[in-house]
Amino acid sequence: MSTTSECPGDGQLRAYLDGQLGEPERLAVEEHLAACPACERSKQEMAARMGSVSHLMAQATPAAADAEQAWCRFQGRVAGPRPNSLAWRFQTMWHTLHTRLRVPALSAASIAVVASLILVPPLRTAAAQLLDVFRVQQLKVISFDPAKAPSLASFTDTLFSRAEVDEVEPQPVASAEEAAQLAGYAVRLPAYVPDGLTLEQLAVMPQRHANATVNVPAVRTLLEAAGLSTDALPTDPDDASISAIIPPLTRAHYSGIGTDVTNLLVFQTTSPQVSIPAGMDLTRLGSLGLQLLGLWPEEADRVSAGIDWANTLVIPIPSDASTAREISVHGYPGYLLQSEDDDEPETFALWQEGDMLYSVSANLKASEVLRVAESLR
Amino acid sequence: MQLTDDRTLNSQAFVDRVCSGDERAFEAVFHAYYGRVYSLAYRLLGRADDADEVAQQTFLRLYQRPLPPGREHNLLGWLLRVAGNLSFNALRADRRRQARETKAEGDRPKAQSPDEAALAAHRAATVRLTLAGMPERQAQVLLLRYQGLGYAEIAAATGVSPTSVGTLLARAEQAFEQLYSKFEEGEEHVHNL
Repeated sequence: MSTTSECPGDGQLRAYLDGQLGEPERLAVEEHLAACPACERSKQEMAARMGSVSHLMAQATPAAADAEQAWCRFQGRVAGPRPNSLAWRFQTMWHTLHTRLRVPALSAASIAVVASLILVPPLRTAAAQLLDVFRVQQLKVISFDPAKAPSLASFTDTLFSRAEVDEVEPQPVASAEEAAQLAGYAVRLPAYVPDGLTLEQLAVMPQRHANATVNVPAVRTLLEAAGLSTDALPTDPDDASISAIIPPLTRAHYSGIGTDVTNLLVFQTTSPQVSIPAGMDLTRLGSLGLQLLGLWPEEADRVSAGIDWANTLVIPIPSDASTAREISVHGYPGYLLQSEDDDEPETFALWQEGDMLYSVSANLKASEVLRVAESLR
Repeated sequence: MQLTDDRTLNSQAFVDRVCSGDERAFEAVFHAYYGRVYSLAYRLLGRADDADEVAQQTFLRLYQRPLPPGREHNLLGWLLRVAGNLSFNALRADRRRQARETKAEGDRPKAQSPDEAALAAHRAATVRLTLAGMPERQAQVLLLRYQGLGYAEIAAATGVSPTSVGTLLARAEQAFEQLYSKFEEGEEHVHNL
């Protein structure tokens, strides 16, 4: 070899061929190649290999994809239109429950899902004028087999003919104290978060009102198709409205980027209050809801009788996608929900302390999520 | 849908819009990059419906958990990396399933047809087998490069240093060529992958 400069490595030659070297480096390689036949030969071999690999890769190129059609499919996949960013991010708690843990969502991407989840049972609206108020005083997770609940998806898709939630903007805040002033309750933040995670944003979604109308004819058709009784449904469409007050919701978003993005969300709120017509047979309706989840009528009656439907947030989770176990956080009972997806696990801790509901969720191990939950101060 | 040019898509202001959940910005990203994400998945999976599923899942991730705003992100690099990971996951799951079913014959195409289209299909399937049989990191780098990513973008997407991208690529191409020839000579069987 008759060159003055050192021979470039394979990587440098490859970058040279790809036009990925800076100008001085490129010139140096070029000069070297002109003077070094061995390297020139290597370069030619490499270029030939690139050509053949490129040719073969091109063979495996599909016909042009139709992005517009794909976009339509994508939109069908995400529940409803995506509201503005911050508001949307606030829904992540329920969105995660729905998409990652496949908890059935009962309405489009809206925090009204909270109310909806609660409201599976109270479909019936009696003629009574007085309203009862639903408040979450306890949580109950019910695992169900989706194979035995074929009508559930269509049921939840058509449950409401109309659902409106006040449109308000979440308010970013600088501290837990400021959040507490807006929210009207003490806001707690974790004293521990895993290494590499930092607080991206703390914000409060102000109180909102929600109104929804149950789509009685559609629900009737679906219940009949599922072989379930329809005598609990109201006959007067005016009786089919429900309203809810959704209290201020505080959200702390922590994130970190390693080989993948980690997002940790801490939500806290007081119980939503849902007005439901008085005098409803909640146990009967609860049993109906459980039968929709695939329970046998006798079993559904038995389980329903054991639930205080007026005060229990029932979260149905599909047995093939998620697992749930009871946990205790600060000595209060709650649930730990986990997706069965090995490749991207999602863990969701949900618990209640007095009037407050808390959730911590992240694509992290259960032990980490629990540690964060326990560290709320 | 208005097409958005590459310069706009890569500007920090635009990336920030996507990362803070801007619907229109997300839609622009979807339209601009769906084809490339789909194409990468297709190269590995070889089926249009599987590739679409991976592409949809990839965008769903960006949609559900946007990257933190206010930082530098290469959206295309991120999307292609996620699509690559998801495709490899799908391949692994497929292999596990095949192993369970003790399926002796894969869908490896037969090369006897003189027909051009059949030959092209055979080559495409062999490319897919080759990519699936290579070390994952090498296959990823190769796929990203052949989706038109520059070295800096590949480095950002895979976490390797920009100076080692060339070396990785050179090795990946050697490995590709060797394994591809083996498949062509029929020395490997799909169930051994």
